[in-house]
Amino acid sequence: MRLWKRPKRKISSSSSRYLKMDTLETILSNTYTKKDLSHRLYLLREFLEERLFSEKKNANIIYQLNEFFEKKKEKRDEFNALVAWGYDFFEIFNTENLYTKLKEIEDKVGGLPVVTVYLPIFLPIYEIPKLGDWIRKNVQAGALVDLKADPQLIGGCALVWKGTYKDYSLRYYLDKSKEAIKRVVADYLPKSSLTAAGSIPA
Amino acid sequence: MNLNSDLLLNLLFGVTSFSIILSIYLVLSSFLREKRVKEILNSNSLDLSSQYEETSHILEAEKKSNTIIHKALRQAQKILVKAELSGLSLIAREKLESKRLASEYQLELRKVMEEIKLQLQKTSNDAEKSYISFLKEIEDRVGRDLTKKQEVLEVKIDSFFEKTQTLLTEFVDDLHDQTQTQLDKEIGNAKKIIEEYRVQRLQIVDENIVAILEKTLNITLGKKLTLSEQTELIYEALEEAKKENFFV
Repeated sequence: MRLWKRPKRKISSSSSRYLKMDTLETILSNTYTKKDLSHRLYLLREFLEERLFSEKKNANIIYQLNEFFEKKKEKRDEFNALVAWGYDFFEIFNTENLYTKLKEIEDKVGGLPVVTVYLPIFLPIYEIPKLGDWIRKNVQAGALVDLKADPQLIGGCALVWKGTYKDYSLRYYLDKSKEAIKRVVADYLPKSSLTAAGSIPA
Repeated sequence: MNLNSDLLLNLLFGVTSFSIILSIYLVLSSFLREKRVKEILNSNSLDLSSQYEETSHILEAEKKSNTIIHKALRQAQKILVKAELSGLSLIAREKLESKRLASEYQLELRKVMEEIKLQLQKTSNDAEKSYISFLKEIEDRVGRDLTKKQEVLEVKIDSFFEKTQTLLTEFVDDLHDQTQTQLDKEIGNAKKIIEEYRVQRLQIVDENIVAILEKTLNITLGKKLTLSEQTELIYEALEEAKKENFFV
Protein backbone atom coordinates (compact mmCIF):
# COMPACT_ATOMS: atom_id res chain seq x y z
CA MET A 1 0.00 0.00 0.00
CA ARG A 2 1.42 3.30 -1.04
CA LEU A 3 0.94 6.08 1.45
CA TRP A 4 1.00 9.65 0.46
CA LYS A 5 4.11 11.39 1.77
CA ARG A 6 3.72 14.97 2.55
CA PRO A 7 6.15 17.27 0.66
CA LYS A 8 6.71 19.82 3.35
CA ARG A 9 8.02 22.60 1.20
CA LYS A 10 5.43 22.33 -1.50
CA ILE A 11 2.57 22.17 0.91
CA SER A 12 3.71 25.18 2.73
CA SER A 13 4.00 27.17 -0.51
CA SER A 14 0.63 26.06 -1.79
CA SER A 15 -0.84 26.61 1.62
CA SER A 16 0.21 30.21 1.52
CA ARG A 17 -1.34 30.51 -1.93
CA TYR A 18 -4.64 28.93 -0.87
CA LEU A 19 -4.83 31.18 2.14
CA LYS A 20 -5.47 34.08 -0.12
CA MET A 21 -8.17 32.20 -1.98
CA ASP A 22 -11.83 31.64 -1.29
CA THR A 23 -12.84 28.12 -0.24
CA LEU A 24 -14.57 27.43 -3.57
CA GLU A 25 -11.68 28.92 -5.48
CA THR A 26 -9.41 26.48 -3.70
CA ILE A 27 -11.63 23.59 -4.72
CA LEU A 28 -11.85 24.83 -8.28
CA SER A 29 -8.08 25.31 -8.53
CA ASN A 30 -7.69 21.64 -9.44
CA THR A 31 -11.31 20.74 -10.17
CA TYR A 32 -12.46 21.46 -13.69
CA THR A 33 -15.41 19.23 -14.40
CA LYS A 34 -18.86 19.31 -12.97
CA LYS A 35 -18.72 15.63 -12.20
CA ASP A 36 -15.41 15.93 -10.33
CA LEU A 37 -16.67 18.90 -8.37
CA SER A 38 -19.80 17.10 -7.31
CA HIS A 39 -17.87 14.00 -6.33
CA ARG A 40 -15.19 15.89 -4.45
CA LEU A 41 -17.75 17.89 -2.51
CA TYR A 42 -19.34 14.64 -1.50
CA LEU A 43 -15.98 13.22 -0.42
CA LEU A 44 -15.19 16.43 1.45
CA ARG A 45 -18.46 16.31 3.35
CA GLU A 46 -17.99 12.65 4.23
CA PHE A 47 -14.42 13.12 5.31
CA LEU A 48 -15.09 16.22 7.43
CA GLU A 49 -18.05 14.61 9.14
CA GLU A 50 -15.94 11.59 9.96
CA ARG A 51 -13.05 13.74 11.15
CA LEU A 52 -14.99 16.38 13.09
CA PHE A 53 -17.60 14.15 14.66
CA SER A 54 -15.28 11.35 15.81
CA GLU A 55 -12.64 10.97 18.44
CA LYS A 56 -9.95 11.25 15.81
CA LYS A 57 -10.37 14.97 15.18
CA ASN A 58 -6.87 15.73 16.39
CA ALA A 59 -5.20 13.08 14.23
CA ASN A 60 -2.99 13.92 11.29
CA ILE A 61 -5.16 15.10 8.41
CA ILE A 62 -3.19 13.43 5.68
CA TYR A 63 -3.08 10.16 7.54
CA GLN A 64 -6.75 10.39 8.26
CA LEU A 65 -7.58 11.28 4.64
CA ASN A 66 -5.54 8.36 3.44
CA GLU A 67 -7.40 6.07 5.77
CA PHE A 68 -10.72 7.49 4.59
CA PHE A 69 -9.89 6.99 0.92
CA GLU A 70 -8.74 3.46 1.53
CA LYS A 71 -11.97 2.74 3.31
CA LYS A 72 -13.98 4.28 0.48
CA LYS A 73 -11.80 2.59 -2.13
CA GLU A 74 -11.47 5.83 -4.00
CA LYS A 75 -8.88 6.59 -6.69
CA ARG A 76 -5.52 8.02 -5.75
CA ASP A 77 -6.12 10.94 -8.09
CA GLU A 78 -8.98 12.07 -5.93
CA PHE A 79 -6.86 11.71 -2.82
CA ASN A 80 -4.11 13.78 -4.42
CA ALA A 81 -6.63 16.41 -5.49
CA LEU A 82 -7.96 16.81 -1.95
CA VAL A 83 -4.49 16.83 -0.41
CA ALA A 84 -3.51 19.52 -2.89
CA TRP A 85 -6.03 21.83 -1.24
CA GLY A 86 -3.62 21.97 1.76
CA TYR A 87 -3.83 21.63 5.54
CA ASP A 88 -5.20 25.10 5.98
CA PHE A 89 -8.17 24.36 3.77
CA PHE A 90 -9.34 21.59 6.11
CA GLU A 91 -8.62 23.74 9.19
CA ILE A 92 -11.30 26.20 8.08
CA PHE A 93 -14.04 23.72 8.94
CA ASN A 94 -15.05 22.94 12.52
CA THR A 95 -18.09 21.40 14.10
CA GLU A 96 -19.87 24.74 14.30
CA ASN A 97 -19.43 26.03 10.75
CA LEU A 98 -19.23 22.78 8.80
CA TYR A 99 -22.72 22.75 7.33
CA THR A 100 -22.87 26.51 6.94
CA LYS A 101 -19.65 26.50 4.95
CA LEU A 102 -20.72 23.54 2.90
CA LYS A 103 -24.01 25.25 2.18
CA GLU A 104 -22.17 28.38 1.05
CA ILE A 105 -19.97 26.33 -1.27
CA GLU A 106 -22.94 24.47 -2.73
CA ASP A 107 -24.79 27.72 -3.32
CA LYS A 108 -21.84 29.17 -5.16
CA VAL A 109 -21.40 26.01 -7.19
CA GLY A 110 -25.00 26.34 -8.32
CA GLY A 111 -24.15 29.71 -9.86
CA LEU A 112 -21.02 28.62 -11.68
CA PRO A 113 -21.04 28.80 -15.47
CA VAL A 114 -20.92 25.43 -17.19
CA VAL A 115 -19.60 24.66 -20.65
CA THR A 116 -20.90 21.31 -21.88
CA VAL A 117 -18.42 19.63 -24.18
CA TYR A 118 -19.43 16.60 -26.25
CA LEU A 119 -16.43 14.53 -27.22
CA PRO A 120 -16.03 11.58 -29.59
CA ILE A 121 -13.42 10.01 -27.27
CA PHE A 122 -12.88 9.55 -23.57
CA LEU A 123 -10.40 12.24 -22.64
CA PRO A 124 -7.48 11.03 -20.47
CA ILE A 125 -7.46 12.44 -16.93
CA TYR A 126 -4.25 14.33 -17.56
CA GLU A 127 -5.90 16.22 -20.42
CA ILE A 128 -8.79 17.48 -18.29
CA PRO A 129 -6.88 20.28 -16.45
CA LYS A 130 -5.59 21.52 -19.79
CA LEU A 131 -9.09 21.65 -21.20
CA GLY A 132 -10.42 23.26 -18.00
CA ASP A 133 -7.72 25.89 -18.07
CA TRP A 134 -8.48 26.69 -21.69
CA ILE A 135 -12.16 27.11 -20.87
CA ARG A 136 -11.48 29.30 -17.85
CA LYS A 137 -9.00 31.37 -19.80
CA ASN A 138 -11.03 31.77 -23.01
CA VAL A 139 -14.65 31.48 -21.87
CA GLN A 140 -15.08 32.54 -18.26
CA ALA A 141 -13.02 32.33 -15.11
CA GLY A 142 -14.26 29.67 -12.72
CA ALA A 143 -16.31 27.96 -15.41
CA LEU A 144 -16.91 24.27 -15.08
CA VAL A 145 -16.71 21.74 -17.86
CA ASP A 146 -19.43 19.17 -18.25
CA LEU A 147 -17.88 16.39 -20.32
CA LYS A 148 -20.16 14.12 -22.32
CA ALA A 149 -19.45 11.41 -24.83
CA ASP A 150 -20.90 11.39 -28.34
CA PRO A 151 -19.45 8.61 -30.49
CA GLN A 152 -21.23 9.99 -33.55
CA LEU A 153 -18.90 12.94 -33.67
CA ILE A 154 -15.79 12.73 -35.82
CA GLY A 155 -12.90 14.81 -34.68
CA GLY A 156 -13.37 18.04 -32.76
CA CYS A 157 -16.25 18.45 -30.35
CA ALA A 158 -19.73 19.87 -29.87
CA LEU A 159 -20.41 22.61 -27.34
CA VAL A 160 -23.31 23.89 -25.31
CA TRP A 161 -22.97 27.37 -23.92
CA LYS A 162 -25.78 29.31 -22.36
CA GLY A 163 -28.33 26.91 -23.69
CA THR A 164 -27.01 26.92 -27.29
CA TYR A 165 -25.69 23.78 -28.89
CA LYS A 166 -23.20 23.89 -31.73
CA ASP A 167 -21.36 21.11 -33.44
CA TYR A 168 -17.70 21.90 -34.09
CA SER A 169 -16.78 18.43 -35.19
CA LEU A 170 -15.84 17.45 -38.75
CA ARG A 171 -19.50 17.88 -39.67
CA TYR A 172 -19.12 21.60 -39.04
CA TYR A 173 -16.17 21.85 -41.38
CA LEU A 174 -17.92 19.72 -44.00
CA ASP A 175 -20.97 21.98 -43.78
CA LYS A 176 -18.78 25.01 -44.24
CA SER A 177 -17.24 23.43 -47.33
CA LYS A 178 -20.49 21.95 -48.63
CA GLU A 179 -20.64 23.96 -51.84
CA ALA A 180 -17.05 23.21 -52.68
CA ILE A 181 -17.64 19.50 -52.05
CA LYS A 182 -20.76 19.56 -54.21
CA ARG A 183 -18.77 21.05 -57.04
CA VAL A 184 -16.15 18.36 -56.67
CA VAL A 185 -18.81 15.62 -56.74
CA ALA A 186 -20.59 17.25 -59.70
CA ASP A 187 -17.30 17.27 -61.66
CA TYR A 188 -17.20 13.51 -61.37
CA LEU A 189 -20.80 13.00 -62.55
CA PRO A 190 -21.60 12.70 -66.28
CA LYS A 191 -23.39 15.63 -67.85
CA SER A 192 -26.98 15.21 -69.16
CA SER A 193 -27.13 13.62 -72.60
CA LEU A 194 -30.46 15.23 -73.47
CA THR A 195 -30.48 18.36 -75.50
CA ALA A 196 -34.18 18.79 -74.85
CA ALA A 197 -36.75 16.67 -73.03
CA GLY A 198 -38.18 13.98 -75.27
CA SER A 199 -35.86 14.53 -78.22
CA ILE A 200 -33.55 11.83 -79.42
CA PRO A 201 -29.91 12.67 -79.94
CA ALA A 202 -28.72 12.04 -83.50
CA MET B 1 -119.76 -69.32 -121.12
CA ASN B 2 -121.21 -67.57 -118.15
CA LEU B 3 -124.32 -66.66 -120.09
CA ASN B 4 -124.96 -70.28 -120.95
CA SER B 5 -124.55 -71.39 -117.39
CA ASP B 6 -127.03 -68.74 -116.23
CA LEU B 7 -129.63 -69.88 -118.78
CA LEU B 8 -129.20 -73.46 -117.73
CA LEU B 9 -129.60 -72.64 -114.12
CA ASN B 10 -132.79 -70.60 -114.83
CA LEU B 11 -134.20 -73.44 -116.76
CA LEU B 12 -133.53 -75.92 -113.97
CA PHE B 13 -135.07 -73.55 -111.47
CA GLY B 14 -138.24 -73.18 -113.66
CA VAL B 15 -138.72 -76.89 -114.06
CA THR B 16 -138.22 -77.54 -110.36
CA SER B 17 -140.70 -74.78 -109.47
CA PHE B 18 -143.26 -76.16 -111.84
CA SER B 19 -142.96 -79.67 -110.30
CA ILE B 20 -143.36 -78.28 -106.82
CA ILE B 21 -146.41 -76.18 -107.76
CA LEU B 22 -147.96 -79.22 -109.48
CA SER B 23 -147.41 -81.41 -106.43
CA ILE B 24 -148.95 -78.74 -104.20
CA TYR B 25 -151.96 -78.60 -106.59
CA LEU B 26 -152.43 -82.38 -106.44
CA VAL B 27 -152.30 -82.47 -102.70
CA LEU B 28 -154.70 -79.51 -102.48
CA SER B 29 -157.21 -81.02 -104.95
CA SER B 30 -157.16 -84.32 -103.11
CA PHE B 31 -157.86 -82.52 -99.86
CA LEU B 32 -160.73 -80.55 -101.42
CA ARG B 33 -162.25 -83.72 -102.85
CA GLU B 34 -162.23 -85.48 -99.58
CA LYS B 35 -163.75 -82.51 -97.91
CA ARG B 36 -166.54 -82.40 -100.53
CA VAL B 37 -167.30 -86.03 -100.00
CA LYS B 38 -167.58 -85.54 -96.28
CA GLU B 39 -169.89 -82.56 -96.72
CA ILE B 40 -172.11 -84.52 -98.99
CA LEU B 41 -172.22 -87.41 -96.61
CA ASN B 42 -172.92 -85.22 -93.73
CA SER B 43 -175.73 -83.37 -95.49
CA ASN B 44 -179.09 -85.20 -95.23
CA SER B 45 -179.93 -84.71 -98.77
CA LEU B 46 -182.98 -86.29 -99.85
CA ASP B 47 -182.08 -86.47 -103.30
CA LEU B 48 -179.80 -89.51 -103.31
CA SER B 49 -179.99 -90.00 -107.03
CA SER B 50 -178.80 -86.56 -107.75
CA GLN B 51 -176.15 -86.98 -105.26
CA TYR B 52 -174.90 -90.11 -106.84
CA GLU B 53 -174.86 -88.59 -110.23
CA GLU B 54 -172.96 -85.65 -109.04
CA THR B 55 -170.49 -87.88 -107.25
CA SER B 56 -169.84 -89.90 -110.31
CA HIS B 57 -169.18 -86.77 -112.28
CA ILE B 58 -166.76 -85.63 -109.71
CA LEU B 59 -164.93 -88.91 -109.68
CA GLU B 60 -164.73 -88.88 -113.41
CA ALA B 61 -163.40 -85.38 -113.39
CA GLU B 62 -161.06 -86.45 -110.89
CA LYS B 63 -159.72 -89.21 -112.91
CA LYS B 64 -159.30 -86.95 -115.83
CA SER B 65 -157.50 -84.42 -113.86
CA ASN B 66 -155.28 -87.08 -112.40
CA THR B 67 -154.49 -88.26 -115.80
CA ILE B 68 -153.72 -84.78 -116.94
CA ILE B 69 -151.57 -84.24 -113.93
CA HIS B 70 -149.81 -87.50 -114.49
CA LYS B 71 -149.14 -86.53 -118.01
CA ALA B 72 -148.00 -83.20 -116.99
CA LEU B 73 -145.72 -84.75 -114.50
CA ARG B 74 -144.25 -87.06 -117.00
CA GLN B 75 -143.90 -84.24 -119.41
CA ALA B 76 -142.22 -82.25 -116.73
CA GLN B 77 -139.92 -85.18 -116.00
CA LYS B 78 -139.00 -85.33 -119.57
CA ILE B 79 -138.42 -81.71 -119.82
CA LEU B 80 -136.35 -81.91 -116.74
CA VAL B 81 -134.22 -84.72 -118.02
CA LYS B 82 -133.84 -82.97 -121.29
CA ALA B 83 -132.88 -79.79 -119.56
CA GLU B 84 -130.40 -81.65 -117.44
CA LEU B 85 -128.92 -83.28 -120.42
CA SER B 86 -128.81 -79.97 -122.22
CA GLY B 87 -127.24 -78.49 -119.20
CA LEU B 88 -124.64 -81.22 -118.95
CA SER B 89 -123.79 -81.00 -122.59
CA LEU B 90 -123.68 -77.29 -122.29
CA ILE B 91 -121.37 -77.59 -119.33
CA ALA B 92 -119.17 -80.01 -121.21
CA ARG B 93 -119.10 -77.69 -124.10
CA GLU B 94 -118.39 -74.85 -121.80
CA LYS B 95 -115.54 -76.78 -120.27
CA LEU B 96 -114.03 -77.56 -123.58
CA GLU B 97 -114.55 -74.04 -124.71
CA SER B 98 -112.98 -72.70 -121.58
CA LYS B 99 -109.94 -74.93 -121.98
CA ARG B 100 -109.56 -73.79 -125.49
CA LEU B 101 -110.01 -70.24 -124.41
CA ALA B 102 -107.52 -70.68 -121.61
CA SER B 103 -104.90 -72.07 -123.95
CA GLU B 104 -105.63 -69.30 -126.40
CA TYR B 105 -105.55 -66.84 -123.66
CA GLN B 106 -102.26 -68.21 -122.41
CA LEU B 107 -100.88 -68.04 -125.87
CA GLU B 108 -102.12 -64.54 -126.30
CA LEU B 109 -100.78 -63.68 -122.92
CA ARG B 110 -97.37 -65.00 -123.80
CA LYS B 111 -97.45 -63.02 -126.96
CA VAL B 112 -98.46 -59.94 -125.06
CA MET B 113 -95.78 -60.61 -122.52
CA GLU B 114 -93.20 -61.03 -125.22
CA GLU B 115 -94.37 -57.82 -126.76
CA ILE B 116 -94.32 -56.08 -123.44
CA LYS B 117 -90.86 -57.49 -122.78
CA LEU B 118 -89.64 -56.30 -126.11
CA GLN B 119 -91.32 -53.00 -125.56
CA LEU B 120 -89.81 -52.73 -122.12
CA GLN B 121 -86.39 -53.67 -123.45
CA LYS B 122 -86.74 -51.05 -126.10
CA THR B 123 -87.98 -48.49 -123.62
CA SER B 124 -85.20 -49.40 -121.24
CA ASN B 125 -82.62 -49.08 -123.97
CA ASP B 126 -84.09 -45.79 -125.02
CA ALA B 127 -84.16 -44.58 -121.43
CA GLU B 128 -80.59 -45.69 -120.88
CA LYS B 129 -79.50 -43.97 -124.01
CA SER B 130 -81.43 -40.91 -123.05
CA TYR B 131 -80.02 -41.02 -119.54
CA ILE B 132 -76.45 -41.43 -120.79
CA SER B 133 -77.02 -38.62 -123.21
CA PHE B 134 -78.50 -36.54 -120.41
CA LEU B 135 -75.58 -37.32 -118.15
CA LYS B 136 -73.13 -36.48 -120.84
CA GLU B 137 -74.90 -33.25 -121.48
CA ILE B 138 -74.91 -32.45 -117.81
CA GLU B 139 -71.25 -33.37 -117.56
CA ASP B 140 -70.44 -31.11 -120.46
CA ARG B 141 -72.54 -28.35 -118.98
CA VAL B 142 -71.01 -28.76 -115.53
CA GLY B 143 -67.55 -28.88 -117.07
CA ARG B 144 -68.21 -25.72 -118.98
CA ASP B 145 -69.71 -24.12 -115.92
CA LEU B 146 -66.78 -25.17 -113.77
CA THR B 147 -64.27 -23.86 -116.22
CA LYS B 148 -66.11 -20.59 -116.39
CA LYS B 149 -66.38 -20.36 -112.64
CA GLN B 150 -62.74 -21.32 -112.21
CA GLU B 151 -61.76 -18.52 -114.51
CA VAL B 152 -63.95 -16.08 -112.57
CA LEU B 153 -62.51 -17.41 -109.33
CA GLU B 154 -58.97 -16.98 -110.55
CA VAL B 155 -59.70 -13.42 -111.54
CA LYS B 156 -61.29 -12.76 -108.18
CA ILE B 157 -58.41 -14.41 -106.31
CA ASP B 158 -55.90 -12.35 -108.25
CA SER B 159 -57.86 -9.22 -107.43
CA PHE B 160 -58.14 -10.26 -103.80
CA PHE B 161 -54.43 -10.92 -103.53
CA GLU B 162 -53.62 -7.59 -105.10
CA LYS B 163 -55.95 -5.79 -102.69
CA THR B 164 -54.61 -7.76 -99.73
CA GLN B 165 -51.04 -7.01 -100.71
CA THR B 166 -51.84 -3.32 -101.02
CA LEU B 167 -53.63 -3.28 -97.69
CA LEU B 168 -50.86 -5.23 -96.03
CA THR B 169 -48.22 -2.89 -97.37
CA GLU B 170 -50.21 0.11 -96.20
CA PHE B 171 -50.79 -1.53 -92.81
CA VAL B 172 -47.10 -2.37 -92.41
CA ASP B 173 -46.14 1.17 -93.37
CA ASP B 174 -48.64 2.62 -90.89
CA LEU B 175 -47.49 0.22 -88.22
CA HIS B 176 -43.90 1.12 -88.87
CA ASP B 177 -44.68 4.81 -88.62
CA GLN B 178 -46.73 4.31 -85.46
CA THR B 179 -44.08 2.11 -83.89
CA GLN B 180 -41.38 4.59 -84.76
CA THR B 181 -43.40 7.44 -83.28
CA GLN B 182 -44.23 5.43 -80.18
CA LEU B 183 -40.63 4.31 -79.85
CA ASP B 184 -39.37 7.87 -80.18
CA LYS B 185 -41.90 8.95 -77.57
CA GLU B 186 -40.95 6.13 -75.22
CA ILE B 187 -37.25 6.80 -75.62
CA GLY B 188 -37.91 10.49 -75.02
CA ASN B 189 -39.93 9.69 -71.90
CA ALA B 190 -37.29 7.25 -70.69
CA LYS B 191 -34.55 9.82 -71.16
CA LYS B 192 -36.66 12.40 -69.40
CA ILE B 193 -37.26 10.02 -66.49
CA ILE B 194 -33.56 9.18 -66.37
CA GLU B 195 -32.67 12.86 -66.37
CA GLU B 196 -35.24 13.55 -63.65
CA TYR B 197 -33.93 10.61 -61.71
CA ARG B 198 -30.36 11.85 -62.16
CA VAL B 199 -31.32 15.32 -60.99
CA GLN B 200 -33.28 13.87 -58.09
CA ARG B 201 -30.39 11.65 -57.07
CA LEU B 202 -27.99 14.54 -57.37
CA GLN B 203 -30.31 16.61 -55.22
CA ILE B 204 -30.37 13.83 -52.64
CA VAL B 205 -26.59 13.58 -52.82
CA ASP B 206 -26.29 17.36 -52.46
CA GLU B 207 -28.61 17.37 -49.49
CA ASN B 208 -26.90 14.48 -47.80
CA ILE B 209 -23.38 14.96 -48.98
CA VAL B 210 -22.19 16.05 -45.58
CA ALA B 211 -23.80 13.06 -43.92
CA ILE B 212 -22.34 10.76 -46.57
CA LEU B 213 -18.88 12.18 -46.16
CA GLU B 214 -19.23 12.17 -42.42
CA LYS B 215 -20.16 8.50 -42.41
CA THR B 216 -17.40 7.78 -44.87
CA LEU B 217 -14.89 9.61 -42.72
CA ASN B 218 -16.23 7.92 -39.63
CA ILE B 219 -15.66 4.54 -41.25
CA THR B 220 -12.24 5.47 -42.60
CA LEU B 221 -10.90 7.87 -39.94
CA GLY B 222 -12.96 7.14 -36.82
CA LYS B 223 -10.70 4.41 -35.55
CA LYS B 224 -7.50 5.63 -37.16
CA LEU B 225 -7.15 9.02 -35.48
CA THR B 226 -4.67 8.91 -32.60
CA LEU B 227 -5.45 10.35 -29.20
CA SER B 228 -3.13 13.31 -29.77
CA GLU B 229 -4.79 13.96 -33.14
CA GLN B 230 -8.21 13.78 -31.55
CA THR B 231 -7.09 16.17 -28.78
CA GLU B 232 -5.61 18.51 -31.32
CA LEU B 233 -8.89 18.50 -33.24
CA ILE B 234 -10.78 19.30 -30.01
CA TYR B 235 -8.66 22.38 -29.39
CA GLU B 236 -9.01 23.41 -33.00
CA ALA B 237 -12.76 23.15 -32.56
CA LEU B 238 -12.62 25.26 -29.40
CA GLU B 239 -10.51 27.86 -31.17
CA GLU B 240 -13.02 27.90 -34.02
CA ALA B 241 -15.86 28.41 -31.53
CA LYS B 242 -13.96 31.22 -29.92
CA LYS B 243 -13.29 32.73 -33.34
CA GLU B 244 -17.00 32.54 -34.13
CA ASN B 245 -17.74 34.28 -30.80
CA PHE B 246 -19.77 31.30 -29.67
CA PHE B 247 -18.85 31.94 -26.03
CA VAL B 248 -20.07 35.50 -25.99
